[in-house]
Amino acid sequence: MKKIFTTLLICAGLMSSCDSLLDIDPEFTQDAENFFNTEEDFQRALIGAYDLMQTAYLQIFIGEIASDNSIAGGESVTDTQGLHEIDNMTHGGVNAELRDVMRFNYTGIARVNYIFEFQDKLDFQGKNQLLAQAHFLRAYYYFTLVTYFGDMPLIVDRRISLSEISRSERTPKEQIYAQIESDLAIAIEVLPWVQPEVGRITKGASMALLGKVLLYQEKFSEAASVLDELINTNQAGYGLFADYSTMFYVINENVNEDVFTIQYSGQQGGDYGCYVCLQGNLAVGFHGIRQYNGPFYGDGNSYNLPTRNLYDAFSPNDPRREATLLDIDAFIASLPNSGNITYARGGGGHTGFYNNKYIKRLDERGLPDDDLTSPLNYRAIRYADVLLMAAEAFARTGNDGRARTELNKVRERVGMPAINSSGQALVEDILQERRLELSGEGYRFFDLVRTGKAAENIQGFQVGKHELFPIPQVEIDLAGGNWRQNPGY
Amino acid sequence: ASVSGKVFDEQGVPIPGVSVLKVGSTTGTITDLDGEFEINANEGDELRFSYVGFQSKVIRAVPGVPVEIRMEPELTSLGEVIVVGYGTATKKELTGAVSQVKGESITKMNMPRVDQALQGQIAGVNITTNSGAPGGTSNIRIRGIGTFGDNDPLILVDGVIYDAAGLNALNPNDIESVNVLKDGTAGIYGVRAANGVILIETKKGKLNSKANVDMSAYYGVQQTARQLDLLNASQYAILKNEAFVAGGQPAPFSNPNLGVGTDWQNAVFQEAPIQEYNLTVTGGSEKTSYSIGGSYFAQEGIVGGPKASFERYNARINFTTELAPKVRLTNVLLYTHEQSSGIAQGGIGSVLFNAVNAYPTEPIFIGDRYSYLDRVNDIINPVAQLENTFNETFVNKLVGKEEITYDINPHFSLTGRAGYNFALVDSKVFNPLVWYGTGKFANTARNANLDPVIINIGELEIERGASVNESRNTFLDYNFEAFLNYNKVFKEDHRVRGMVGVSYLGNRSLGLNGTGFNIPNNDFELADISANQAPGGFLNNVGSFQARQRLTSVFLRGEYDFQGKYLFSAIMRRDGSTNFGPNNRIGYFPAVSGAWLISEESFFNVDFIDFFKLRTSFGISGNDQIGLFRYRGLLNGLGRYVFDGLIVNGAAIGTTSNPDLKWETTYQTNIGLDFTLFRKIDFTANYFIKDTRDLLFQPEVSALLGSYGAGGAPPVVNAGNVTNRGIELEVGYASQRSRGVNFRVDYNVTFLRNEVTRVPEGFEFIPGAGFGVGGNIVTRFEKGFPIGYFVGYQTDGIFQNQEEVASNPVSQSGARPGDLRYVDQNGDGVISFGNDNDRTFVGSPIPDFIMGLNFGVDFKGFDFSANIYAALGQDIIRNYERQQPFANQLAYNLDRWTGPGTSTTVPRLTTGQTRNTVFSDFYVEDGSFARLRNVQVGYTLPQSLTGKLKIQYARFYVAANNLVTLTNYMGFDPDVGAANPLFAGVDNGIYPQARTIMGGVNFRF
Amino acid sequence: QEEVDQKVLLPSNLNVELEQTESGRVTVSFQAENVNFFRVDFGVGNDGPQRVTGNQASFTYRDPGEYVITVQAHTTEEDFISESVSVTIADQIAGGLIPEEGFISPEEYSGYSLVWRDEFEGDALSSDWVHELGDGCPNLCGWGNNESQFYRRENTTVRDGYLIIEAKEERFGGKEYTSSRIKTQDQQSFTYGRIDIRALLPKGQGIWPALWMLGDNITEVSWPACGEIDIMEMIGGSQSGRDDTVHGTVHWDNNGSYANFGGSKTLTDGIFNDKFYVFSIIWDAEKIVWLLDNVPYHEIDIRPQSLDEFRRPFFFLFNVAVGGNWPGYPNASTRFPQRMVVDYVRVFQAD
Repeated sequence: MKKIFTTLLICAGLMSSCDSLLDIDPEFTQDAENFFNTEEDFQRALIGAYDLMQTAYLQIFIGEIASDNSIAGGESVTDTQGLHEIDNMTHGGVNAELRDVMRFNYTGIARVNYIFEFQDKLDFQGKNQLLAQAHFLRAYYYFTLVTYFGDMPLIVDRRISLSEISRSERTPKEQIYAQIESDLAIAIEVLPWVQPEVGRITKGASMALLGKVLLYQEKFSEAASVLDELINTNQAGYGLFADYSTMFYVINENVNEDVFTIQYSGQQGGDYGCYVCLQGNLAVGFHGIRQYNGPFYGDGNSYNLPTRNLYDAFSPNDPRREATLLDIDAFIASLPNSGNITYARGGGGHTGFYNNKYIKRLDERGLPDDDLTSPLNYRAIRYADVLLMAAEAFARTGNDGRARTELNKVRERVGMPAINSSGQALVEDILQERRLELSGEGYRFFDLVRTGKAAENIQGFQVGKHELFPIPQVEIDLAGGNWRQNPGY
Repeated sequence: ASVSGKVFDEQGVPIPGVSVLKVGSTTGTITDLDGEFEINANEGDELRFSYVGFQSKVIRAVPGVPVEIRMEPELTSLGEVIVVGYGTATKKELTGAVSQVKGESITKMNMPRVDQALQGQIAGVNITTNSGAPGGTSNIRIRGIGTFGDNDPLILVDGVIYDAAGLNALNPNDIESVNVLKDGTAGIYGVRAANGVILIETKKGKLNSKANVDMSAYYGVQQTARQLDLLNASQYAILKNEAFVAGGQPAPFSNPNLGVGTDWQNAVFQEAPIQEYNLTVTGGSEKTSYSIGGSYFAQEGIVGGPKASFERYNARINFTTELAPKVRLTNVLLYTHEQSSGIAQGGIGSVLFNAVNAYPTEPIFIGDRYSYLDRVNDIINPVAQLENTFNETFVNKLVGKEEITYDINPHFSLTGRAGYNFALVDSKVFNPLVWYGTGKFANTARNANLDPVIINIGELEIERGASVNESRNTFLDYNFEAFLNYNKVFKEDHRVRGMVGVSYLGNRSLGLNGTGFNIPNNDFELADISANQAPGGFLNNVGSFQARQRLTSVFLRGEYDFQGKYLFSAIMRRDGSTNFGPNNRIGYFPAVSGAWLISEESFFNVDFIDFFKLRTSFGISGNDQIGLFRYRGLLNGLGRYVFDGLIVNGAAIGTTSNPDLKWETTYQTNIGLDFTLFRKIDFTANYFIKDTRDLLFQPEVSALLGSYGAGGAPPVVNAGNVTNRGIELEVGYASQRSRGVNFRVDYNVTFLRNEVTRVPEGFEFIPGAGFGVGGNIVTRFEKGFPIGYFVGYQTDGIFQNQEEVASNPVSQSGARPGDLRYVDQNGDGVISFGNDNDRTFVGSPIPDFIMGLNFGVDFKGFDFSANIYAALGQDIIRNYERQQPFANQLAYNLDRWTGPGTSTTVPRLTTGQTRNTVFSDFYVEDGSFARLRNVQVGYTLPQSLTGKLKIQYARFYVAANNLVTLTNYMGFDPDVGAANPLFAGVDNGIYPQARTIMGGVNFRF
Repeated sequence: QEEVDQKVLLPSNLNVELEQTESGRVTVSFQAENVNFFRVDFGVGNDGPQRVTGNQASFTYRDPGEYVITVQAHTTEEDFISESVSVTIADQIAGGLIPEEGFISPEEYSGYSLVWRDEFEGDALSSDWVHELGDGCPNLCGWGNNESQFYRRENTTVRDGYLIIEAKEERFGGKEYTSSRIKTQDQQSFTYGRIDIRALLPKGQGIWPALWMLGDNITEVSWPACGEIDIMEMIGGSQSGRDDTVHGTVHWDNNGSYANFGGSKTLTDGIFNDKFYVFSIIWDAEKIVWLLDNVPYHEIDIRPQSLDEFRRPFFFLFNVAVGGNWPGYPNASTRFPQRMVVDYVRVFQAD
């Protein structure tokens, strides 16, 4: 018997050494498990993580269409049905666009986490700079998810495996916000004010996003201090671009007003089969004028059409009205050969207005199919927004003086008279100014929701329900069916 | 006192090595080379003589008088030694479902490959043929198909791994036995055992035996057993005229009296030789036994002749020797050299497809060039095609094993072994400049002058001349194993056996290949990469690959047996495989089995039942052959962004990793029964349920995984199930010398049901084979159906007249008299041709049952034997008809519909738009067949004569393979296999198995 | 199961009619009973009888002579009856039969003006042209290329709007062949511009037509320092790369050593003897671009100092050489006479 035991012992001893024989990689190939061998690998993975920011076209659509600013439009009421449902506040658990928001942002997060999973594999000069950008990206993607859906599973620094999915839980949004804030703190700490390459995330972008994140949590005094620091330190030379009316032309991209901007290019063709593959800004062509054949603008899909209500919100002498809304009939009538210029009204709705900021212009088209390949960048946070967020944070913390200062900087740029109100009236004025300054840029719905003004301004908005979007039912099912749907859906 | 004598077999030939034991003592001896023995015994002592394959015999000792003992062969197989994992057992002791085929049965079939010889020999094992061409492969499927991936069983030859294709290297004559582990007890091989295990033992020598020299040879002529019944030229002209006019086009033949025209099948089929020569020397001294041999085998193809040929040279040395007391060394060494050439087979572009569809009105030659068959775009002149085919493959293979066994004491023995299987495969394919006529896809030249095609590379214009592709691939399988066996009987009644072992298995393959262009003179003689004249080396290209896999294992087996009545066995194996992710690298595979020998019970006294045993087993095993490294994420995602206004490329995961990816798992339950009647009839029955789970899929996954960026794809996951259940019966009967006649018959039959029982959410089915050229996919892996079942329209006769079309309650667009009437499966009153609404199950490639019958009789030196195999209930898709206006057609079209009441099965002919060409049961045929695989008559020279000639044994025989096949199937050969189960039963014009007539001799000196 | 009569029934009553028109076009019509298809051989080339659809076939003969036309009426490829008729093609015009097909270039280009043209109307060369005669001896025997022709005036004709240079197999002046070479030296020369020449080229092993230019200063600095622009050269022969390929080349003196640079264009279908093509160059101070039917196929940058040859005036040369180092020599497959037919030459210069 003794002999049996010794033999068994030998085998048991062999087991672990035998098992180590199994640790082999495929030879001469790089796959996901044996990447990150050079600095170059890290840089490329970071670009992969940046990529998903280009799906911000959904933000421009949903942030406006869900609000009182615009309607879904398009060829017919079934053209991108998800947007029409959001427009009508009839959206539910089946919504392709909301599913895209969830898929794309989690893909961005997965690509960031992939870098962090291997962050210790190699050391090189500038690694902390690289990781800081990744921290920012993760914060941005999580912030999008938390504003759309509320509590969402928080996955950090690792790839989640398939078997964990069914056990995944929705992390309370407070925890997600904490993660976002800590990610941004690192980005602010490490990143420079000015990056050698245009388009890389900077310290200023990180501070601006942090300010926004704090404001959305109603942490007004913290928001005030971050934004104050940004405005006062401002080593990047941020300012307000002089000419509001041409600020959204391609030639005026990446100017002093750009704080956090998502970059696009028209140099890669695209097709309708894969929106996430595009390098162009899809929203721009989709906003274009349906079957238009005249000068200056290109044709497009008549999506996201601004409402009369928005038009009427401007005073007639506010130059931002024309810069924000294109009154198509008036524009055509003003042209010399207006008799020969036609366009079509989409069956998905017609308001007479088009989004004049993000719109396809004839000399700003990308490669075919140019409905999909606009080079026009998306200004996710521009300096005017920073000033208005600061104003709001100051006003909410009793510093009306500073609030008016920042607010009136914005008004002054477009030649509008200064505002002298204070207290609650000042807060209201600031929120109204946000609409006038930032409409068409994808923030309105979230501004209305966070300030509790959604129900009074959005037809069909139900308090206690529509503050969050529903999680796509299929995603609940694929995650094991254990998540509670958001209230009301 | 001493007792001496001599032991003979039933023929009077002395038997060496018979064990002689004084009953009730430990005194024993064995007979020497001349069958003689001497033993100490006293008057009245009982002496027991026993020898494998013979009934033991007991006599009373009479000292001083030499005895002659004649031993009778054992007719039942209970005493046969069966090889099981890491050991052996007698059939009597088995608790699992294991079948054995003896070497003689395989040798006798005169088949080029072992697996071909196994067809129909073993219940539960289905062998289908991928191609009848020389060197063509078969598929071995044990107890059904469990996956749409790799279904090949684990094959070990003397403990060394072979892959199914590698069986080409093995000479069937060298085989001692083939043992098939079919049930859960195969689980001793763990993660490799899910598809069953085949253990092949090659011939070894015997200790203390004289050198025997065995020589055998046969030579045969092969021919096709069948040609398709096609239209001759006159019939063709008449039918084409009708079809064209019906399609609104002018009739192509104003004069249809064209004689019989060209028989393209005759032009490509030929008679071809097959031959084999064998020499084996076996023998043994007191300490060493050996078996040494060499052989040569050559076969040419019935299509292509030497261009479709296979040759094999074999040399082997097996020996076992006692290195020291209690220490044995076993050596196995096999060297094989193979040489083969092949022609295009299976589907469009193949020689037979071209021959079947070429029209008979075209001569083979027009003037001094091959004809072009201009009127059918994708059919080329098959005779020209054969002439332009040049390729050769050389395989050099070395397989061996070194094994040392140390018998520590009567209870313990320790074995260590190292095995290897190394193959070097060199191949060369020459693509000459060829011209088959304008617009033919197979052209490599620009025109009939064979001017090269001009390729533009940037500014350069380069001629693309003849090319040659050469490759060298090496494959190495190696293993190291050690195991300890324990065997002890306690208190007479309790027998305990145990085994514990470890194993390390690996393989490594490497390959390098290159293509060189502009081979001078368009000549195979100059076809070598070194001769390429590609300007500047442009066009030339190279490639390489490498792959490896490893498996580490620990295994245990415990067996307990009470009084030989109650047998119990348990197995556990722990496997680690490199094919799985870190989370599932290690798997545990248990199995338990037991048997009750009812016939050993005292209460059991049925006279005519000599033996009765009940068995049952349950085991879990795995299939790790799911592809290498599929658990890993791939970097094939796209990540692009814009910096400084320019698009920059990044990297991203494309296919998401799945560190949890694991083997496909099979859970198998077996209940079995063995009994023997009248000491003559052996009967075995098994019922099994085999559940295979965790098949691989790529279904939609949760957003959380981040699989949906550019270039992203979901991970590969384990998500499908398949069930096979079946019944196997084996019956053997043997009678000995009733009036000088020996007679033996074996019959086996297997019933099988296969069903897919689960696919992941959101998956409807996995598509398989397409019908026609670029046609719909018509085979599927789908829940509720057998793997690879056929889906299409069900027909309900033919519309006989306009009246029937008009009164049809179902709207079938475009229907006219003479068209097939389809069944409205979903009852919506419309036949939908654009979707699945009205498509349904129209057949399955899996037979309902398969059976084999072996029959042998000998009488006064003459012997006769036959082997019949039948597979019933499977269906075949007729997929070798090119639906083109001018392609030739099968003769069944002579019975087409030509007016009311003329045909209820074959639709009208037309070149116009018709729905008769969509896939329906019209294109599915019953593939059932019964085949006389081998029949032979031999004559053995009488001892009296051979003795004078100093020959121990001499036999002459004539034999035929595939002499008769009974089937209703129209195609070349109803035995239509496919390695991929989703392509099974789709006949693209399979290269048929030849009918062979041969003569041969066997000598022993 | 069916009794189909498996005998071959041959066609009968094959009737062939022939019609010939001015231009050498011959049409045969045929009829037969029980015929499935016809094959017709016009007695030219080695391709044998060609299958035709319908009851008619036409062919345009390009060379005078007697030809046998065979019509086969087939039941199957191997079972047929046949009839032969012969036809004589007269030498109607000295230039043989000229197909009219082929690309025609525009008469004007925007940004350019026409500065010189010769449309070869009338029946003689204009005074812009002079002949070069003989075999090049004694200075340049075989014209520097071991050519086998003797250049004569008699081999040039102008008629029907064409210039025809004919290479013949006839002994003269110790040479096996005669031909012509004409040039505009001292009459017309040009620096830069677009040059279009529409021509039908000869064919066959050893035939070497050329449309080319030399620098006016050849009399002072000699070749290659004078520079040579080959607008079109073709070396005949049936292999790919010969009758179907034209070359555009420049030759110059590269600081004391001889240099050349050329490109070529191969037709995807047919040869240059099938129809007219337009051979052009566009030449300015920076580059020369060669075009075939207005499609560029080759270009040289002439800005380098060593190519200043090409910033001076050049004159034209048209000739058909027979044999030589480059094309090789005629063999049994070469048919004579061979003709180069030039429809026009036009020179445009930028405004």
